Formats: sequence, structure tokens, C-alpha cells
Amino acid sequence: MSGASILVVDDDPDMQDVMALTLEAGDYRVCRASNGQEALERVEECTPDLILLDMRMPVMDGWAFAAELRRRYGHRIPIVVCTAAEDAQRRAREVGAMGCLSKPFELEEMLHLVESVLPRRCERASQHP
Amino acid sequence: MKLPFKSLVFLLLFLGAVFTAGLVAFYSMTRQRLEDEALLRQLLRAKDVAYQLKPGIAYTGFVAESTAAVVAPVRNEAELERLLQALLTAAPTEAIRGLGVWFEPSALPGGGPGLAPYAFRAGSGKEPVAVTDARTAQPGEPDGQPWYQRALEARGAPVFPEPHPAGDSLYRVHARALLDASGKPVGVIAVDVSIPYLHGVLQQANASSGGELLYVTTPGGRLFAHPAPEPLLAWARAHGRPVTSLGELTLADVHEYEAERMPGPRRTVQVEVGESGWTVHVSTAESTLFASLERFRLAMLLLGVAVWAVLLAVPFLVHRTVRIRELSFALEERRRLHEVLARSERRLREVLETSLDAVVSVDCQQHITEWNTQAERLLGWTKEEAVGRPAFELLLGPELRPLLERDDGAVLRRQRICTQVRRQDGGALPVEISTTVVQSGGRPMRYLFLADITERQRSEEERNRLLAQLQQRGAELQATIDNMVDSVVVSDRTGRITFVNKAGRQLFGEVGSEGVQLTDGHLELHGVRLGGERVGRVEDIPLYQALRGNIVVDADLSFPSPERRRTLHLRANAAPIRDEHGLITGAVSVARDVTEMVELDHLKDEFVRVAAHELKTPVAIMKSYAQLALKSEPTPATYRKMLDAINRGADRIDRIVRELLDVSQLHLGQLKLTEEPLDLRELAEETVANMAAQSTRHRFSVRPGEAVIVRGDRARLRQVLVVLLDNAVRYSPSGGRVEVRLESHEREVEVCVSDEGIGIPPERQARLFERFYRAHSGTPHDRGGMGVGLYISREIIFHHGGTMRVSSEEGRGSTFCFSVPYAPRRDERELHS
Repeated sequence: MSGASILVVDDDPDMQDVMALTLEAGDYRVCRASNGQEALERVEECTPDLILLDMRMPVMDGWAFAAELRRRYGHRIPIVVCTAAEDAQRRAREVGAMGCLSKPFELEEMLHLVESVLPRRCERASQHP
Repeated sequence: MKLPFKSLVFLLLFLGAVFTAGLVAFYSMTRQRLEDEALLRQLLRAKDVAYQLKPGIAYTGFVAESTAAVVAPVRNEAELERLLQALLTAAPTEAIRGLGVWFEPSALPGGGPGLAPYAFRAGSGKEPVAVTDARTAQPGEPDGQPWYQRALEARGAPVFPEPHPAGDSLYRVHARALLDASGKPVGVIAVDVSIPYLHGVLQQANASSGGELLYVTTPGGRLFAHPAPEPLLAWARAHGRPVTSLGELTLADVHEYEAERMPGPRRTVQVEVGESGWTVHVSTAESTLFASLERFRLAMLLLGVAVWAVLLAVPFLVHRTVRIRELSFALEERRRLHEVLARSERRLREVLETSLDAVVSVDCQQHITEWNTQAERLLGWTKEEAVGRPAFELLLGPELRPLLERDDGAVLRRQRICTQVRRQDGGALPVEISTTVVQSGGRPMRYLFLADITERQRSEEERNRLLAQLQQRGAELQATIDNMVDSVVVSDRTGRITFVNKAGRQLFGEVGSEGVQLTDGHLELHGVRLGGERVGRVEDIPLYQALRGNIVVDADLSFPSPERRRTLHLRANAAPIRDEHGLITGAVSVARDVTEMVELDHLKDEFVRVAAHELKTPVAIMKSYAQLALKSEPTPATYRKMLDAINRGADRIDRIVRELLDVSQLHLGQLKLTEEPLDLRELAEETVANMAAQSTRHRFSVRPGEAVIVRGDRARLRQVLVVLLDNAVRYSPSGGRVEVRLESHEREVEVCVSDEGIGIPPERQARLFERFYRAHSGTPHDRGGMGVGLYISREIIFHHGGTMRVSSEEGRGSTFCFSVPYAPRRDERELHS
């Protein structure tokens, strides 16, 4: 599954870095955004196959971004919520995410989750090129 | 008694009147009949006399007729005498005295000197009939006699000459003419009767007639016979009439005589004797005639009087009987009263003797007359010593004189006096005196009742002292309550507020005023909450719970206060107030304003929550970089070890942060659980496997068995298991055994984690589940930690509807168990499908 494009949205640059580095090490193409507004622009540029989304961000938070994304692109791009909030799963359901990561998480756990979410999207993509 | 008696009298009078009327009617009816009867008897007597007289008078007619027929044709003197003699002898009665025949001279041959024989019975009438010449025997007859001429002129019809005495015994009573063949009168025949005979008959009749007068009159109306001729003749002479015989008097004379000489009304009856013209008269005094009637009248009168006497006697007797009965009742009552009096006197004596009061009586000179046993005991003098002595000298002070010297008893009849009296030993005895005057045998006797009030005075002093103490206490209490920080509200039995202290008034405002009766509306209006829930009914607030007998401790009340612009939080206690019988008379509620404390608590939890959250991101970064560094090649072994340590430290911080978050969430009531069917055994096995992978120094085991399906939050239940397993590992020596056991019960499953560790002292077991409590803090076994794991675990189990417990023995190990209710069948099916 190498070569898939992943958009990492997190307001904390360190967090953004470590996630991007890890994913890049796993042969993913990574785009970055620091808030929802920025992320919407990046979606246009990178056409990500998956978005890793922090919820609490300045300018535009994860909820607003997810709503706007659904408005523009429907459910085409899967979202994985990664948040420090104590009820990460609930938040993931709120925005219709495919999975969730509760900070702090193991990097391995993130990679596993990303891998498990992506193939389904590819299957769908191959069915509808 | 009065009315029936009067009625009785009236009834009797009425009966008497009716009876009298009946008696009078009966009398008048009967009297008429008796009168008629008496008159009839009188008539009968007259008829009887007439009948007796009849032969003497009426037969003269037969004799004259037959003689006339026989002698008419005879002219021979001798033959005529013989015929007359024979006829007189054959006359039917002795009354006929004689027969005389006179021929007219023209009828005699030759106109001779005449022929006039007269046959008669001489003497007493027993002698043989003699015949003489009438002209010699009766000179003057017949010439010049009216009867002779009347007889001739009557031509054979009888003539009744007026009788006249011939000598002293002869009366000519009947005459008739002698007729020849041609019917021409040729002479006269006359019959004389014997007066003594007639008189005899009358005398006999009069003799038996009592007061009756029977007399006879001749056809000419002259008196022939009378029972008392002498007084009659004397009366006539006295009236200037020179009479010699009865024949000279008439019936009118007799009537006049009777009217003059015989007083009283008379009844007269007369009866003809045949056709002779003679009349029998009976004159009877009414008194004699109606003598029986008089007796009858008398009898009736007596009867009436007797009946009236009886009738009048009845009420008298009744009255008398009643009176006697009343008297006997009164006597009985008096006797009974005497008995009662005697009994009550005896009782009075007993009462006086056994009375707790000293009883003393004095006479009008204030000398003691009675002195009961209690008086002896209280005052010291014996009865013998006291009786007869003046009361004032002995025991009473002079100030009591007005009490005793008024004899009318009006003073102090009901009043009681507290004073002191002297005792024999010279001491003074405080007493309460009451007094009364009793009339005993006509003399006033004053009784004094002296009650010993030493004890009472003492107890009164004691009471006053206690009262003062009580007031002091009350004031203290009042001051305390009014200056308390806590609010105090007291209500009566109905929930009406009767007291609020100053703090309460400030806290509750108008709602907490005295006299207010709380309603559901008040609670609604002020948005009162109890333990976080809205309260709809006053019955649920602590004060009302206390009124039902419950003791409420630490109830959390809250309500928004517009004045203070915040929600006020109160911690309230309440308890019922009971009277001496244990009945609830009200309730008291004490509430402390804990608003600031609650707010601070919230602030702290919020702070913890935010701080923990903020910590998470840096920890995540730290941890991620450590992992990233570990992954990058090549990493020297020393760095690898350091990076591992950083990673583990980050994990520990993460766990502490999570626990702090859990604690603050629990405390804020924000813990949210997901719910899904899960197999608890599988979860336990999985968790134990993870644990065993990390901690290789302990031996883990899960007792095998069937799947146990419950409904719950998988992550949270795993968290509980981790806490328990972690504790077991932490407080067990290396190589210790840790066993997990699942026991199915009827409604729930129990999961127990046992270790062979150091155990927990019993006194610390009770607090194990408290927040931040660390059982081994400050002991050699202190292994660190925040002391929240068990608290969070128990809360999680509690939120699942289960319970958690611990059993432990120091040095032998501990067993922690929690229970989770079974999942419903529906969920089981879902899981399998």
C-alpha cells in the first residue's frame, strides 16, 4: 500500500512532525495542515487517501472541518480521529471517522490503524476508477 | 298523687248524683203504686164491711116483699098473726127484729077498728117470736109518719123510712105497700132491724181497723153508727146542738168533726150497701193509710244516706291511706338518713384519723376539741394534752385570730393560708391551713386542716432554682443558635415553620420565615434540588422526612439564589423532635451553606480535567519521539535503554493523567459508559495474558469455565481487571501466584482476583475504596501510586450495577471481587449472531 497519500492535521507542530516522520518512514506520502482551514486547502492539493485529524485546533476545529469535508466531497476520504480527549471513540463517531487514536498512542498502533483503514478505500477505488 | 285524688272525688260525686237521681225516680214510681194499693185496700175494707152489713139491711127487702105477697089477701087477725110469726121465724138473718102490718081501714070489712099485728123477737133475739098489736107496741104509728104515706103512694115499690130508735134497739128500715088483687094499696108492711146487731158488726170492723174510722149513714144521710159516738156527741153539744143520738147528726157534721179534731189529711171512701141507700164510710188518716209508704220513703232515704256516706267515705279513706303511706315512707326515709348520717360520721372519723393533714377542731371559745393522729405526729402533743386547751395559746400565732373569730364561716371558707405553727418542741412547722365551720349538734364547730408543707417549700425552692437554670440555659442556647453559622429551622407537627435563626433567615429569605407552611409550589418556584435531582414534593425534603421519624444526615440541597447570582449548596441534617411519650411534635433541620466548598471542589475537578488534558499532548509527543528514535537505525544500546526508559516514563505519566481524569470525571458525574455484550471470561483471559507478558515474575492463572456474557463497557471493565491484577502483582513477592476466578450466580457473575501477597490490615480495609487512600502509605510496603485505582474500579463496577468487596488476611494475601449483572438473553443472541 505504499504511496498512498495521507493528510495529517494537527495544531501542534511537534506532534505533526512525529506523525509525518513515522508515516513517511512507512512509505506514505504525507501532507500537513495546522488547522481545519489549512487542511481544506491541502485536500485540494494532495487529494489524500486518508486524513488523520486532531479535533481541538484553532481557526477551524476538527468538527467544522469534517462537516465541510463531507459537504464538499461526501464520504470519499476516510478520517481517523486522533485526539487527547478522554472519549476519543465518541468523537470519532460524531464525525463519521473510520477509527480513532487516543493520545498518547503507540506509533505502531497508528501504522496498524492506517493500514487497516486504507485497503478498503483502495478496493472501493478499484471498483470505481 | 294530687290529680288522681281530685279525679277520684269528682268521679265519686258523679256516681252519687247518678245514684240519687235513680233513687228519686224509683221512689216516685213506687210511691204512686203503693198509694194506689193502700187506697185499694181501704176500699176493700169498706166493701168488706158493706158485705157484712148487707144481710142485715138488704134482706129486709126480700122479707118485706114476700110477706107483702103472703099477707095481702089475709084479713083474719089470727091467721095474720100466725103468718107473721112464721115468716119472722123463717127470716134468713137475726138482724131482722120485727115485722109490722098496717091495713087501711077501707080495706077491712066493715071498716073496723083496724088490724095492725106486729111480730118481733123479744130480748136478745134468741127468744121465740111474739106478736102484739102494732098500735099498742108502737104508739103514734103509722098515722102521721111520712114513710107510711110514701109507701102507700109508692104502690108496691120499696120505701126506706128514716130509721128511728124504738126503745133502744129498733130501726125501721124498709116499708112497702100491700096491694090487693086490683093493685090498689090496702096497707103497708114495715121491717125493723136490730141495731145492736148492726152496731156489733161495725164495732168488730172498727176494732181491727187501727186508726181507721168506719161509719154508716142512712139513706137519708143521717149518721147511723160511728166508732166513737161519745166524743162526737160531746163535740156536737159543744157546738150548741142539743143532740142525744147519732141519728141527729149528718155526714157533714162528721166531716166537720174530723176536720176539727183529727189533724192531718184524711182519705175517705164510701160504699153502698146493696140498693138499700145505706152507705158505709171509711175515713183514714193518710199517715195511717200510707204508713208503709212512709217506711218505704224512710228506707229509700236511709239507702241514699248510706250510699252517700260510703261515697264520701271513700276519698277520705283513700286520702287517709295515702297519708299513712306517705308518713310511713317519711319515717323510713328518716330512719335511712339517720343510718347514712351515722355511717358518714363514722367515715368522717376514719378520714380524720387517716388524713395526711393534721385535723384540729375548736369550739366557739377556740378550745381544742379534736386532735387526730396526724396532728399528734406533726405537732408533738398527744390528744390528751391538746384537747381542752386554747388553740392560740398552744399552737397558733395571734395573726390568725381573724381567721377563727369570725363565726359565720364566710371568711376563708375556701381560702388557704400558708403560715407557721408552733410545735411542742418549740420549733415552727410550715403549714398550709384551710378551715371550715360545721354545725354539729346545733353548735358551730370549726375544723382546721393543717398540711405539712416543708417538703413542698423545699421542692418549690428547688423548682425555682431549676427554672432559673433553665432560663440561663435557654438564653445561652438562644445566643448560640442565633450566632451559629449553620441555619436552624424548626417546624411543628404539620410542617409549619415555628423557628428560624438568623443564619436561616439570611439563607432562605422569606420562604424560611416563621409561620410559613412550605408547599410543593415553593419547591417548584425556587428550583430546589436534593442530591442533584429536582424535588417536586415537600415530603422529600429533609425536614419532612424527619417529621416522618427519619434522621437525615448530610443531605445535599441546592437551589439557585437570584440575590447571590449563583446556585447555593446546602448540607442538611434533620431530626424529629419528640415529646416525653416519644410522639413526634415537630422537626429540626440544620443546614450549612457549603456553596463555596462545592464550587471550589468543582473548580478543582475542572482544573484537574483541563490540566490532565493539556498534559496528554506533550506526553504523546515525548512518547512518539522516543519510539521514533528507537526505530531509527542504528541506535546504540545505551540510547536504546534510555529511550525505553523515556517511553515507560511517558506511559506512567499517561496512566496517572488518565486516572486523574477518571477521578475528576467521576466526581463531576461525567463518567460515560458504552454498553455492548461481551464475554467476561474472554476479557479476563486476554487481560491476564497481557499482564503475564509484562510481568514474568508472577504465575497467572484463570480458572477455566464457560463463557460469561454480560453487557458493559469493555475498556472500563478491562481497566478494572488491570487495576486488580496490577495491585496483586505490586503487593506480592516475586514468584507469587495470581488467580482469576469467575463464579456464576443466579443474577450476576462474580470475578475474583486473589494473590498471595502481604495482605491488608483489617482496620484499613474499610477505607480501601476511598479516593486517594493508600493503605500501605508510610509502611515498608509502600509501592507508590495515587490511591485512586480501587476508587475508580469500584465506581465503574457501581455504574455497571454491580458491587465490589475485599477479603484479606495480613501476610496471607488478598482477594478482590466484583460482580456484574448478567446481560439479558436478547443481547446474548445478538452477540452470537
